[in-house]
Formats: sequence, C-alpha cells, structure tokens
Amino acid sequence: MNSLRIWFKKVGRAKYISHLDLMRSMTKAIKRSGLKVWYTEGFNPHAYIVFPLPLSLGIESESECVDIRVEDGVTPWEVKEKLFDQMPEGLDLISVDEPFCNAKEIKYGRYVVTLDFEKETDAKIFAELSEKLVEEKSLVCEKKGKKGHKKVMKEVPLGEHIFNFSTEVKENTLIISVDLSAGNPVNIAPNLLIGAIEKESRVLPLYKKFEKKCLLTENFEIFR
Amino acid sequence: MLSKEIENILQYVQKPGRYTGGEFNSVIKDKNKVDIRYAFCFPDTYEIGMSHLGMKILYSLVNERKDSWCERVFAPWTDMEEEMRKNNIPLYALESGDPIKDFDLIGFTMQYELSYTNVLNMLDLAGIPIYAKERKSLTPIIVAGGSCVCNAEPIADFVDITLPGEGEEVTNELIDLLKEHKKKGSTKEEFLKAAAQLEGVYVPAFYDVSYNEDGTIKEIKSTNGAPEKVKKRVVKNLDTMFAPKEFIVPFIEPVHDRTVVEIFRGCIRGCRFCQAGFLYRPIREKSPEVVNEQCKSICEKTGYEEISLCSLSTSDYTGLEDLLDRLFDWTLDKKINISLPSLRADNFSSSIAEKLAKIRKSGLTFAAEAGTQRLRDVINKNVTEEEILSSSRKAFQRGWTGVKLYFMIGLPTETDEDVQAIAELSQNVVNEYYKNPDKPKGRGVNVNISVASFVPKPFTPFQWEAQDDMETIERKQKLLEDSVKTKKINIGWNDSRMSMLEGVFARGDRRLSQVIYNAYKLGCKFDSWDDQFDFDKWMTAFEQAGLDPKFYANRKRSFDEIFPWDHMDYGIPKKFFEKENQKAHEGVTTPNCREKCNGCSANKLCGGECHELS
Repeated sequence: MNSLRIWFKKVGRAKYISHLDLMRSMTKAIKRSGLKVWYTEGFNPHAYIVFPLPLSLGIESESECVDIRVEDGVTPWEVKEKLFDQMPEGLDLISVDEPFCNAKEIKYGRYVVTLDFEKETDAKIFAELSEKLVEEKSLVCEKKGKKGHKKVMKEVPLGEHIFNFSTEVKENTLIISVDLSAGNPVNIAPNLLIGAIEKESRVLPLYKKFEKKCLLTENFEIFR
Repeated sequence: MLSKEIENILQYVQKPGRYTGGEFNSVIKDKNKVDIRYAFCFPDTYEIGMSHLGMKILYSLVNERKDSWCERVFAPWTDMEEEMRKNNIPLYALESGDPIKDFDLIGFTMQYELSYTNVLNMLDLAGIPIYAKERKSLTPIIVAGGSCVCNAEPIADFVDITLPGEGEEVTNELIDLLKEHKKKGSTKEEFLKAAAQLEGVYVPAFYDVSYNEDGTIKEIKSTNGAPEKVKKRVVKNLDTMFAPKEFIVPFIEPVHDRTVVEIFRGCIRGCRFCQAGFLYRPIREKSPEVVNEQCKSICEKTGYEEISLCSLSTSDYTGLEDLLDRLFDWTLDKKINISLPSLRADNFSSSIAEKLAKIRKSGLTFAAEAGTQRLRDVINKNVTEEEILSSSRKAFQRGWTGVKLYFMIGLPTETDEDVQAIAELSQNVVNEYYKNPDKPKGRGVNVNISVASFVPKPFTPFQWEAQDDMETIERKQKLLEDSVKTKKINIGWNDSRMSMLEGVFARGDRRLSQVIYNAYKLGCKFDSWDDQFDFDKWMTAFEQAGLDPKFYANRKRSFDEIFPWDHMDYGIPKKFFEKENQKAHEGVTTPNCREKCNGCSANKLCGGECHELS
C-alpha cells in the first residue's frame, strides 16, 4: 500500500463545488478509473481519500491536492493516466507524486484576488485603504466557529495572519497578492480578508475573483 | 459556460452547485451545429430533478442525435430566483448557460400536481409568455409529459403540446417534425396541426370544451383535424428501447444518487387506487441480460456504488433471480450495492432474501395500504395480514430492527374500524419483533408507518369517488394517532390541504388554469414544500376564479358523467374501470394478470391478444 498525492486545478464553475461534494466526486472519479485503491476495512468500506487542506467554496485554485492510497505496484504514472479522463470539467489533473511534505507542515496559502470596480479611481481608493488597514494590523474578520457543539460567529483579528501583501491597479481592476495563514490552528480564506476590508470601505467591487496559487510551509517554501 | 453575471450571483446563494452545470457526463455541443435546442425542465429543485429517471432517459436520447442538443433546467430555489430577478438574469440552461427563451423546444416533466405553479414561474423567469395563446412564433414550443398529463386540462392554457404515454419514440418524431417546419418557415399553427396527427401527441388548443349548468362537462369537441381520442404512446419492446448508457454525475447530492435501470413497465396487480398500475399497462419486461448490461455500463461510466432496480413491483419480475445472479457476478467484487425497492410483502421469497443478505442492509418497506382485510379487498391490494407479519418475521430473523409500512386513509368505504386497524396491524408487527428469540439484545424495534391521504385519480376504478374532505381526513388522522399506544410506532402524514389540492388538479378541468394562474400571481411556488406552501393564497386563487375546490375533490361522480380527460385513450376502456369500481363496492377482488386475464384491453396497445369485456 502506497500513499500518493494527486495535484489538480479547481477552476471555472468547479469553484462552486463544496468540499464534501468534491470528496464524493473524487471518490467516483477514482472508481471510474478502475485503479486499484485501498479500501477502508470498516463496516462500510470506502476508498481512502484525504484532503490535506479543504478549499473554501467560491475560490479557484491552481494547485489543489488530495492523498489516496493505492495497492502495491500502482505507479504515479498509472494513476495519472487512468484518472486524467475521469476528472470533471474544471478539475484538471496536473500531476501525481509521492507526498513530499506532511499535511501538518502547511502554514500559509498564497492567493491572488482580482477585484473589478466601476471606475479606476474606485480601484485606487480601495487599494490605498487596504494597504493602510493591513499596515495598521487593525482588520478583524467574522468567521464561523464552534463553541462546544454550538455554531457561533467568532471575531478573528487578521493582523498576525497577513503576509507579503501587495496591490496593483490596472484601469478599473485591482489585483491583490497575499499570503494568509492556512491549515491549523488558523485558516484564513481570502474572501474573509476582502470582506473585512469591504466593511471599512465606501467603494465596493462589482466582481470578485479569488485564486489560490499554492500552499506554503513554515519558511514560505512551496508545499509539495 | 456561465456568464460572469451568473457566476457572480452564485456566491450569494445556498448550494450554488445546483446552478453551475459542468457535471461529469453532461453534454456540451456547439450550438451553431445543431438544428434543435431542447430545454428539459424539471419544475422542482435540482436535487429532486436529478433523481428522476425519465429525465436521464430523454436527455441521453435527444443528445444521441447530432442535430439536437438537450440541456437541463431546474426550478431555482427562492434565494436564487431573487438574485436572478434582481440582476435581470433570465432562466438559463445548465450546460450552456444560455437563456432558454431562445430554445426551440421547452419540455416540462409533470410528476406531481403541486408543481404546476413552478412551471408558470419558470416560464416567467425565462421571459416567456405564460399563456400558450400569447406565444405567437413557431418556437419555443412548450411541451409537457409525465404521469400528470393523463389529465393535462388544468394546464391546458399554458402548454402547446402534451405527450401522453411513453416518450422514447414520440420525442424523436416531434423533433423531426419541428426541424422540418422550422426549415419550411411554418407558422406555429401549421406545426401544431401536423403534430396533432402524431400518435401520442395532444394539442389542448384544438379541443373545445363546453359545460353544463351544474359545472360538469357537456361536450369535448376536437377541431383543426385533431383526433377525437388521443391515444397514449407505448414502447412495445423494452429490450430494443433506447436506454441511457451513462448518467450525469451530480456534484451536489441528489435525493437518489445511484445507477437506476428499469426492469419492467406496467404492473400485473391492478390495485384499484393506483394510477401508475393502470397508466403504464401493459406489462412489458426487459430481459435480465439487457438489464445487467445496462447496469454495468452505467456503473462503469459514473463510478456509482449502488444499483437500484426500478419498476412498480420488483418481486413480480419473472427474471429477478436470474438477474441477481448476473449482477452478483461482478458487483460483489466491485463493492457495488443493489437495492430492490417496491418488494411486495406476499412474495418476499427466502431464496431472494438469502441473495439479498449478501448485500448491505437497507430499509425494508411493506405496502399494506389498509388496516383490515375487508378494505384491502375493496382496494384489491391482495396481501393478507399473515403475509405482512410473516415477511416482517423473516426480516427480523435476518437482523432487521425496523420496517416501514405504507398505509392510506380516506379510501372508499372506509370506516373508523378500518382506521383503528392500522394501529393494530402495526402493533402486531411490533409484537413479531419481540417474539423473535434471536433479537439483538438491548435493541428495540422501529415501525415507521407512513399514512398518506387517498387521492382519487383519473384512469383508476376510483376515478368516480369523492375524496374525503380535509376535516374528515384530519379527524381520521387524530383517531389513528390516539389508537397507537406505543412509541415504537412512528406515524408520518401528508398535509391534508396538499392532498386536497392534489385531488382538485388530478381530476380537474381546464377552467382551473385560471386558478393556477391566480395562485402563481399571488406568489405560490414550490407548493409541495412545507416551508413554501401557502394554503390561504390558494383559497384566494379559487375565490378569484369563482371556482369551488370541493366540486372537484369531494364530489362523487355518476358513471355517465363526461370526465375532463375522456378524450385521452390510455388503452383501458371506461367500462373496465366501472366494473372494477362495482366489484370494489362489493368487496370482491380481482386476480392479478398472471393468474387470469381480466380483460382490461391494454395488451392491444402492443398488438397483443385481449379477452375484452363484453
């Protein structure tokens, strides 16, 4: 039995597949591929698949990964070949490797956020405001959390979780690049950051696009 | 591909996966290379519509044609509708994201009377005039199919065409015809006249209905050369009939997410309340080889780990054991589970039960339908209490700790004793569990009883009967509730108000189009959803139209009354139903079709022999 890490994109309308639905989709894709994967041995046997880090709904990604276990002798190349045509639209298979890092090593996510405004001045106003708020480390976001068994909204200060923040305005579009804390114990999705800035802003973007570029480890090295 | 506008609003709605499309096996074509664009609409949510086998069949069937592209459309939930209206986004098809108002054919499948307002709302969302007469151009043509169109009169003002019967063949003929008339540049009327000549096509606008003073129908007259009687379509051979080789694999979980293959159409039983049992006659089986191949293909192409065999009564399939053997040959290895819905309590044989023991346990359901033998004889549900108890006993011995029982209240000739007997029968099932010496220690039994309110339907022996009014149903519900003495029995009801409306529209005439329109205008939609259903608005809609729902639901008809659906021919003469109705009132049962031919004539639909009544 070997662990393999499958890398794939999640782009276009596939960004609206929730984490649970993605798990079921991957299970079916693996089933269709006919690959010899390892089944759990419980009452209800199912293919073993684990996502090192779930992606929030509505965020596109250039590099998502999922770990599976295959029977001895199944090579990464074989997995790639058999799985390639079984991936739904927008979930494009990139590569299959043996896992290099442990999921626990995930510390940050690298994102690009593209915001369209009505006019260029709005984009600039929003860019300046966000630079200032990030600098001040005063941003707070609301995040769904749990208190015992109850679901509650928690306020999370963002100051300590924003890194390498930069903005670029091109006509009426603002492009923000940023690294945010990811994994355990705190996972900040980019829409939370933008939402926190929007609360302070008098101009709001018309369209928002969130893209995850990659995951990073402790020293801002790429998680593989 | 979805437009930026659509993608943008999806971030504000619940379950955006309902509205994205792009699922594995969904079909993308070049719209410039097809002649006919077909929007297949299901007037309920994505999760319900994607569970519907008919849609899967017709989707694959139309997309097999190079000249046509079939796409799916579901009713957007209220949050999505709000966003769409706010942002001027018209109803679009999931595959292309294109507005459906530009399509050639828009087909609705009508499974349930309470989805009529959703049809109107979807047309409006699409920017299409709701009344057929207001749609002047050739396309889009609005078509409706499904079991409800055996009496399409309540929606007669809105649809251009309905397709009574089975759609596999007539859909292709209709597409061919529309393609031809598009090329010729025909008017809508020219096309409809030609369409009305196809077997299994009904054009409501070509029939004039006149009424007596008491509100009953005086006469139904065909015009424009349309046939006097519209015959339903029947596919003769199920082995050679089109069946999908693959299903779309939804991202979000539909109600039923599995491989489904039909094993036969029709039913040998002749339960007198059951519309499906008569609408889909005659009985036609698919051979085990063909079913097995179709199951295999769909599993391979979807990755599904469950197969459900579909029919009105699984255990009446003559090839069941053969089929199970074939399926087990490959499914066990692949960890694929098989479920057999609609098993009858009287022939849950031990050899089948043994085979079923190999697969994962799912719920067991027995349809007893009525509490006493007298009433079961009236409705011709030929199953005895002992059969139900022994089936339960066998199930408990094999490790089940719960069963589900189906009952109805409000059946013709029902007395309070019949209602109370439901509780007694359920209690006897509970007792069976405790009689089993090998019952699991420390575990109780769960008997869930689902008690539906009986709704008389067209093309059944009970089509003349009065439906119990809401007060009577509620009194009987209370009576049953009080008769159940243990917490081991859980009761589930139907909303008596929904059943009443279902009854009105099932046997209604075309004057009810006005009521549906009024209700839609008042904001009624998703009427089968408890949290959306607004009964008061419906009552207002009836009042505005000057119609009384009781006239349709709670009135007993005489045998010589002309029904709103009398110009539909489903292959069984009214006379057969009349005889069955009389036998019901005498408490006399009718044997199943394999024991003895009862002369319903349905076999003639396939060119077969028939011992018709004299």
